[in-house]
Amino acid sequence: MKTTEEKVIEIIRSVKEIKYPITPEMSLTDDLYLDSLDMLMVINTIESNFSYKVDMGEVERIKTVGDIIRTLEAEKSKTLIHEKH
Amino acid sequence: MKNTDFYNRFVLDMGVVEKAGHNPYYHQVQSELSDEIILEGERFIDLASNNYLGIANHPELKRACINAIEKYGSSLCATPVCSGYSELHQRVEQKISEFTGTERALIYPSCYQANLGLFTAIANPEDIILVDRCAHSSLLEGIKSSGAKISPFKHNDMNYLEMLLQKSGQHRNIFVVTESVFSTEGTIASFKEINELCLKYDAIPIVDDSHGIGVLGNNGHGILEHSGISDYQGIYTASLGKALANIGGAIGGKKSLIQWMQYYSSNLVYSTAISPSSLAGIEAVLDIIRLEFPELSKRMWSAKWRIEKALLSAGFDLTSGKAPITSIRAGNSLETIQLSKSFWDNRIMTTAFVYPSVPQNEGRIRLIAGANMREETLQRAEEAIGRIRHG
Repeated sequence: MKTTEEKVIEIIRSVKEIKYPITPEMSLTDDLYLDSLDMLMVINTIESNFSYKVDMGEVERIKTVGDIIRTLEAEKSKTLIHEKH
Repeated sequence: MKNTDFYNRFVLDMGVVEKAGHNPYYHQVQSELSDEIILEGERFIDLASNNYLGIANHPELKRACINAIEKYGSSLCATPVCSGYSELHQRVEQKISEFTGTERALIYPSCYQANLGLFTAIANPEDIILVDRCAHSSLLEGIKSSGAKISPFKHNDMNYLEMLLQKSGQHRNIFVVTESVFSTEGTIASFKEINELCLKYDAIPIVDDSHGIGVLGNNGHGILEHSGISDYQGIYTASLGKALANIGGAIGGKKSLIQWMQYYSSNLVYSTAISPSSLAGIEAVLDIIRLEFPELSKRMWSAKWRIEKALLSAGFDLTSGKAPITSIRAGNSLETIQLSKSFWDNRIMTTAFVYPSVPQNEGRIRLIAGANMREETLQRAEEAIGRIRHG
């Protein structure tokens, strides 16, 4: 089973052809050159693959690949907590 | 002090151009468009203009423009809604709608204005607009100015588009926007499928056929003819300044929409009408296409394939577009401008696309070989391409 990190990197690669390795500390704009349209596509693909509605307020705070991974991990743990109760 | 600060914001960064030793933009043209043009006193092979059919200097076209000036003068000096709308304007709109396969059409002074004006007139924040990632700046700017929710889909990816359509149902209207031929990549949209998806999900397709009109279809009528679509229920826009060798932009669609736009599209209502000579030129070109398209089309495609083959043989990395546009993947901005300089030094004029016209590091050198390319010129271009790659 793929980790969240692997899934996020796969989504970024599906939106934009990037020939070099993608790591969590990379900046979405400065290292991966994603623009606002690319970001919307990343969000749409995440929403579709993770069945999770991204709050557009959160998008403003997302600067790196790791930010996306952490946001999804946090959402996942919330869901688990919710399921436990 | 404040004013000084204001003007200090507008310092142009020419670093890349200086590093490359070449500025590929704003060269002064000193001749008409043949297969060669004179730029700053030197003769260049023209692989830069969008003169697909090679008819920008056609004698019939020139005569029609001159006759219109004799009749109407240079301009009617008014917006179309006031006294700027001639019988010629009405007749050309009618001919454009018949030619493109739309119910009615309007002609704007440019396609950029047509695209900007369209979205602000038809969409608002209650709507969602799904747009191909590679769509032209005029479409994106128009969409942004409408305030509608924008959701890009991967270039020509129908599965992705359908995924977005499935989750867009809560909006007042869904629009799906694409170019027919993508101007930097030369790819052709799967517009038949887009149109079918729109019918399935009750969305309105909008296609910008600027690089398809006069090029695609058995008779050059553009994307609707090319896709075999009759009774089109969507909206159509196109530049009249590329294969149609004039200036202006058209919007075509259902009669009720076009009538409404005549009064409520501010980009039309508040712009001085396109000049009569340009309208006469468009009318003449439609006649030229009707009479000469099979031969022009054959020559255009033959020239495209010759240039493409020469570039591939020389080892250039090309985009996979099937339209009569050939694009080289040229790298970052500096590499792109350096490559454009190599063509320039070999007296070939091309178009260089660098960021922000294209994404970072995805620079393109675009070459368009028109139907007017003579054998001798093509041979010189082929030889020069070999020298550029290996020199």
